[in-house]
Amino acid sequence: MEKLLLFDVSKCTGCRTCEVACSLIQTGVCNPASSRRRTIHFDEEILDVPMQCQQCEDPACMNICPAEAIYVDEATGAKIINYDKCIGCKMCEIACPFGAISVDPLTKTVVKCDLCSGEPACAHFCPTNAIEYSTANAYDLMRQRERIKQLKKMSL
Amino acid sequence: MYGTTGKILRIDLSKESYTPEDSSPYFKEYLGGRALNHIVLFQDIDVAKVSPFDPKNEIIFGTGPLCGTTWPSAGRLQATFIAPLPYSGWGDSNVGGAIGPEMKFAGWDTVVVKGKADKPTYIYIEDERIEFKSASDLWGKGVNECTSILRKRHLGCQALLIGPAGENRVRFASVRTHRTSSLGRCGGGAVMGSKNLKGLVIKGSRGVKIFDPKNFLDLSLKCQRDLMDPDFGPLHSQSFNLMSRYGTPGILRLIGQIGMTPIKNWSQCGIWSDDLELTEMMGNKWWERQDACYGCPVHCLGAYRVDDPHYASFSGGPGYDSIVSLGHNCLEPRAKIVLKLNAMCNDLGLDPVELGNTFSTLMEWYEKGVIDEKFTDGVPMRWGNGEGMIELVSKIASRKGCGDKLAEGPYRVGKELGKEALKCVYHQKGMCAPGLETRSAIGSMLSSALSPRGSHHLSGLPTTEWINSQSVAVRVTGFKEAGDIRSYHPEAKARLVHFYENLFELPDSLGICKFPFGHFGYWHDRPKDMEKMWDYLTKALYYATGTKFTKNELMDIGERAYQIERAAIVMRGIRREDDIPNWKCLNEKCPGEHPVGPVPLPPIDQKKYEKILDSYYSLRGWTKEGIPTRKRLMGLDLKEVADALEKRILHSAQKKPAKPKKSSKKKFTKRKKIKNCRI
Repeated sequence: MEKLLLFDVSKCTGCRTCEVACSLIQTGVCNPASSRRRTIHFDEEILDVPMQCQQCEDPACMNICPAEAIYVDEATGAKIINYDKCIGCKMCEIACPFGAISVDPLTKTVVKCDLCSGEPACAHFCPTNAIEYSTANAYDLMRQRERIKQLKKMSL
Repeated sequence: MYGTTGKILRIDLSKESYTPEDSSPYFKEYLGGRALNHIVLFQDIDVAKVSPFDPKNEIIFGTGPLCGTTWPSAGRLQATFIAPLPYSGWGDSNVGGAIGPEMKFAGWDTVVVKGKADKPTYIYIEDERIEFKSASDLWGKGVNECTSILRKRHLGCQALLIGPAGENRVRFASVRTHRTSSLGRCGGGAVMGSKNLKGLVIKGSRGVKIFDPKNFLDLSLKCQRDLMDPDFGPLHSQSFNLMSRYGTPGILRLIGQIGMTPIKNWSQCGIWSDDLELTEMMGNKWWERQDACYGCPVHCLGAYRVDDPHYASFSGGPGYDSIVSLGHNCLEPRAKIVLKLNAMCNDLGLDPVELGNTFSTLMEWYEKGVIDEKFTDGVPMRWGNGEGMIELVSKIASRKGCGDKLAEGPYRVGKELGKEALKCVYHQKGMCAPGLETRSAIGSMLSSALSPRGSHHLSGLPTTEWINSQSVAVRVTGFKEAGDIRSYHPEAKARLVHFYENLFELPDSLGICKFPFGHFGYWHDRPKDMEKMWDYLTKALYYATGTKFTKNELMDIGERAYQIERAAIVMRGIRREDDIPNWKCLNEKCPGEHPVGPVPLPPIDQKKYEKILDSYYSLRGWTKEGIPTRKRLMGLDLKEVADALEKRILHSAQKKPAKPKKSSKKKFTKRKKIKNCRI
C-alpha cells in the first residue's frame, strides 16, 4: 500500500521546522518562501494549520496541465513536475484546491511536494509527530486508538 | 556568505533613509546577534552620554548565523539599546517567535534603527524593499489589534510591535511579536515609542544559504533527536520533557525545591502551598493548545482562553517568571487573575516581570505604612489584591493618574520615597529580578548582581551549583566547591560564573534559544556532555557557514561581548558598589519551605561575597573598582573600546579627583598571574 503524508492539526505547534527542512533539502537554502509545504499561522486564534500537497487520486493539477508535465511516480505515487515539459503557465497553481502548489520566489518556477523520493524531510523533522509518513490504513488505526484513549479518559 | 547574510541594514528615521552595510568583517570576531550588537552600538554612539530617549540612541535587532536554519530552536532575535529601565543604561533583550528568521530570510542579519520619525511610523521590509509607512491609524491601539491589521495588510508577514505602554514611554514597556513572545526586559518598547516607531513588519523570500546542506540537515536532525532522547543525558531529557509537556510553569516546583522561587515580594522563598493553580497552568481548564517559536521542538508556550466573564482573556500564556512575579510575589494564587494580567501586559506591551515587581513592592510598602491608598488612586495594595492590580495596569500603560509615577518602575519610585522604601525593592542596577531568589545560590547571586542590564538570570546561569554536579564543577573550574550551592569559595564561584557568562553569550550570538541550548549546553550530567556540546556547536557552525571555529575562539567571542557590555556601563558610571547585592539580600533572612538548603536562608555574607568579587574581577582583568584594564581589552582586540573607556575614565577622574585610581591599579597588577578559567 502506498504511503501518504498525513497530519494531525491538534499536534502541530506551529514551529515551521517542516517548512525550513523542506526548503533546505529541496533547494539547499533555508527559505520557507520556497518550501513545498506551509504551516499557516492564525494569529487571532493562536492556531497553526499545516497545508501540503495531498497527492490526490484524481489530481486537478495533473488534469489541467496543458503540457502534460505532471506525472505519477511509480514508487511513491507522488505527482511530480517534469521541468523539461513545464511551460510555466501556473494553471496547476490555480487549479489546486489546497493551494499546495506555489511559485518559488528564487527560481520563479512552480514547485510542489514530491515526497522527497519516499523520505520526506518534513515528517522526519516534525518534533511532535504532527506529520507522519505512513499508509492511510495504519494512520487511521492509530488515530482511532488515540481517540478511544481520550474517550476513555473522559468517561473515567 | 553562508549561514549569515552578511548585511546590516541601517535605518535613519529622522531622514527616512536607509543604507546597507557589509557585516562580513565582523563575523570571525563577533559571530552575530548579541556580540555584534554590542560592538555596533559601542561604535555608533557615545555610550557614556546618550540618554535612552535621545534620537541619537539606537535600537539594534540582530540575528546570528544559526538563526532561521533547521537547527533546533534557531529562531531568536537579540535587541540592544541604551535602556530606560536599569540605571546602568544597558539594554539587552531577546525574543523568539518568528521575527528573527523572517529578518534573515529578507536578507538582513542586523537592523539598526536610529533617529526619530516626525509622526507615528512603521518600517516595512520586504527583501531589499524598505518602506516607511504611516502608523497613525495604529497608534494608541493594542498589539493584538495592530498585528491582525498588519498581517492582513501584508499577507505572510511577521510583525514586531509596541503597544500603548511603549508609545507612552513606560520605562518597562516591551516589544511584542507572534502573540506569544516579547522583547520583555529593559524597556525596549519605550525606546521605540520615543522614536515614534510602532514597529517592524518583515516579509522575506531570500532565504539563508547553507555551506553544506546535507551534513547540516543530518546534524540538525541528530541534535533534535538527541535532545528528546533520555539516553543522551538523563537530566536534560528530563527537563526537556518537563518544559515540553508543561511549559515553563512546569518547573515552578522544581525551582521551589532548591529555595529559588520568591514569595511575598522576596520575603519568603521555596514552595508556596497555595500555588497549585499556578503550577498546573499548562493543561488547566483554560489552556487551549501548545505553541512554539520558529523551529523549536520544545514548544514551551501555551495559548489560554479564560471565559470567566469578569476576567475574560485570550493570549499566549505566561512563562515561569511572569507567573512568579505576578502570582507568588504578590500572593495572588488565582490562575485566572494571573492570566488576565499577563494578557493585558501582552496587549498593552508591558513587561510582566517588572510590573509584578512594581505591584509586590507597592504591597510591601502598603503593609509597612510607607504608602496608603491615596498613593495608588484609592486602590488598597493589600497582598493578593488581584482586582486592584488589574485596575492599575491600564493606568500604568497610559500613564494616567498614579500610573504616571508607577510607570517609572519600582526602583525610581522607591528612590523618590526615600531610603526605607528603597530597601523593599529587590533590584540590581535599577532593574528588578525575575523569579529567582538568589540568596539560596551564591554563584547565581554573583551573576545576577554583576549582570550589566540589571538583575536577571540569563547573563549566566551557573546551573552546576543547582544540581551539585561535582564532576562538572571540577571540569569547569578545577574546584569541587563550585558545585556546592552554598559555598563562598572565591575562586571556584568566580570561575564558575565567568564560564557560564561567556557561554551564555553564545546562544544569543548564534541566534538560538537558551532552552534547547541549555538542555545540552548547560544541564550537563557528566563532564563528557560538555565535549558533546562543543562538538555539536563547532560542527553546526562549520556546516552552516563554512568557517571553522574552535571552542576557545567561541569562548573568546563570549568574553569579548561581555567586556564591551562592562566597558559601556562603566563609562555610564557603574562601579564596584553597583555589583553588591541589594539591601534585602544583604540584610534580611528569607524563611520558606524547601528541602534543599538552610531554612531560613541567611542573608548574603558581604565580606565573603566581596572576596568572590575580587577573584572574579581579576579573572576578567578588571581593577578593584570593576573597570576593565587596557591590557585585557587589547588582548581581546578591543582597542577602540579601551580608548573610549580610558578617555571617559580620565574625564570623570578630572571631575572627581577624590577617586583613588592609582592604588587600585597597582593592586591589580599584583594579581595578574591568576590563570584563566579552564574550559
